Amino acid sequence: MNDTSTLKVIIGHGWRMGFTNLFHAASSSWWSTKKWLIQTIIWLLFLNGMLAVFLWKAPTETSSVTAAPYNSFTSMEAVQHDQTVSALVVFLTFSAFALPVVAIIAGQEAIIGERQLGTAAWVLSKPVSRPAFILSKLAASSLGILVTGVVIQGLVAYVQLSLRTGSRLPIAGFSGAMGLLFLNCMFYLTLTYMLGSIFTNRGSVLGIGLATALIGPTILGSLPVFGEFTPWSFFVPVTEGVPAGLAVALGQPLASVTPIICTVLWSILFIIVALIRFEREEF
Amino acid sequence: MDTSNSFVLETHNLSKIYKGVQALTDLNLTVKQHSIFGFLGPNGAGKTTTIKLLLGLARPTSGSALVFGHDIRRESVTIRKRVGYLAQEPRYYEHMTARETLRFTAGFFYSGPAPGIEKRVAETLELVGLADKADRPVQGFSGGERQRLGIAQAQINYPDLLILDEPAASLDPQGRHDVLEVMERLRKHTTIFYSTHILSDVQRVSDTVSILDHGKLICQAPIEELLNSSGAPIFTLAIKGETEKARLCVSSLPWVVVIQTKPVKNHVSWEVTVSDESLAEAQLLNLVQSSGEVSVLEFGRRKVNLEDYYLRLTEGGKNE
Repeated sequence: MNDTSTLKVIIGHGWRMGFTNLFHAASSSWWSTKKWLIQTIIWLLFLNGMLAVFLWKAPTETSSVTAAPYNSFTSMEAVQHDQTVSALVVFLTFSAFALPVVAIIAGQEAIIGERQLGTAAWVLSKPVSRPAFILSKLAASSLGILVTGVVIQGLVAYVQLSLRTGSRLPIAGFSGAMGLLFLNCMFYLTLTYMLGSIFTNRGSVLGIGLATALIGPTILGSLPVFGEFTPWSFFVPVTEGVPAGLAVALGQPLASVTPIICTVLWSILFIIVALIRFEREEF
Repeated sequence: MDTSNSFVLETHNLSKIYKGVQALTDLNLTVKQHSIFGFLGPNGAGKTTTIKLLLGLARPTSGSALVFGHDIRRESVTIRKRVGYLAQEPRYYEHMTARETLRFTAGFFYSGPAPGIEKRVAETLELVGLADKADRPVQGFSGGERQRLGIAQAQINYPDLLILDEPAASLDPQGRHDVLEVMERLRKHTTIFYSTHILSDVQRVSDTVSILDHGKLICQAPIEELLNSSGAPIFTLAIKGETEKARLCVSSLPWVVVIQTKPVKNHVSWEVTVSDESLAEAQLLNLVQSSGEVSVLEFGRRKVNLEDYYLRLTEGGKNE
């Protein structure tokens, strides 16, 4: 009965206790089920479908597929006259609004969902550190969103754009824009983890998260200063110039890296608060 | 074993206040190695709170506790490596099968090899009688099956201490019987600390008992000692007729501690707890018969059981 000689006992301490097992379990919920396929198809239809409609429709009187260099699109007015760049703007903008919604839903399920279902208490009765509980779920969700919502969508979008424009879109710049999309998602994912560690009901977490994601970028018109230290200005024009995400995609220099640095710092801060709050949580 | 003595678990003035409510007050417990320790108390007495404190799921307000000599505040993860826990209402990931649930649980204790883990999982499923349902998703499991799976996941690491919170509460008589049998089987391998309010179960399998009420420990003792020292003998009577006059007469006697009455069909059943057994034997029946228009249908002496003792200590088992 007590023969454990054939099994290799995990000898470890500190915050990583239980991380690997939890990460495998959380990842399995993405990759061992049809979740990843469903997510991928939904995003393909929604994001790349939208891009295809804008990209392959007949040029209107005011727009056409031009051969102008991409660094010449320094204002949104100029962008509107090029069908390809307009389509890219639509793809990036829709992605910037839609992917955070998935991040928020995935994030609230990870903490508040498990707490309400009682599975968090069960898991934490095993040799698992609380940071490992949070970080493993964050890592698995991030990976799932990165692959299904960013990498695959980015690849398909790039192929579409290249076919339409004759491969003139800089691959490094486009990858950078997709990186900003992912950073944007991480901002909301970590925000949701923090909210999940503070509030005890899903309504508050979802409400605050979604309000931040959907209303935030729209207030930049009247309060442009918020664009300086949030990801809201990544894909929404604050001034007459093109937004940071589009500038990166077109291979143009960034007007300011402050919003990017601030978003990274916000994300780190959110997760630190989540870890501290969760450490104090009682089940 | 890290402890210098044979105590697996010790608490020292362990207290917990939840939102201004004193859930646990100065709890001092000791649990010996390889014992089956019954932790009794009415609902809300503080049993689950104590268990959560021991597992690090809640923090004590004051006091301390050692499990295997490790402090529950600072070394909780180390403690949990050697503990198996079954919650009062066990929750699992519903999409997982029983086998996957145990595989997942085993993953917190063992890194491999995979065949060894699979063997352990299969053995544990067999132990709790779930081998034939191993590959069914947990969401379709009955209460009894969930409880069995709960014991299986608590036992997967062959823990040195098994903490079970109301392990038989939601089970039918057969399920309860099975769970108690599993507990008895595990006794030689592990120490079992379990909370319950099913007193007959405690009397059947436990060797030590503690009773908690309103967050305070009322007693802790080996069960035999408890029953032998539980003092006052009880006499039972079945009486027919005008019993109230007889009751007043008997209850005024100095050696009568308490009379519990219960109407039963066409008569009234009495349980008379007395302080002087010989006086009661000599006088009680005559006194009742001569005290009014009553006829005594039955008269006898009952052996004190755990339920009597428990009800006496917890004022009827109610905890408002």
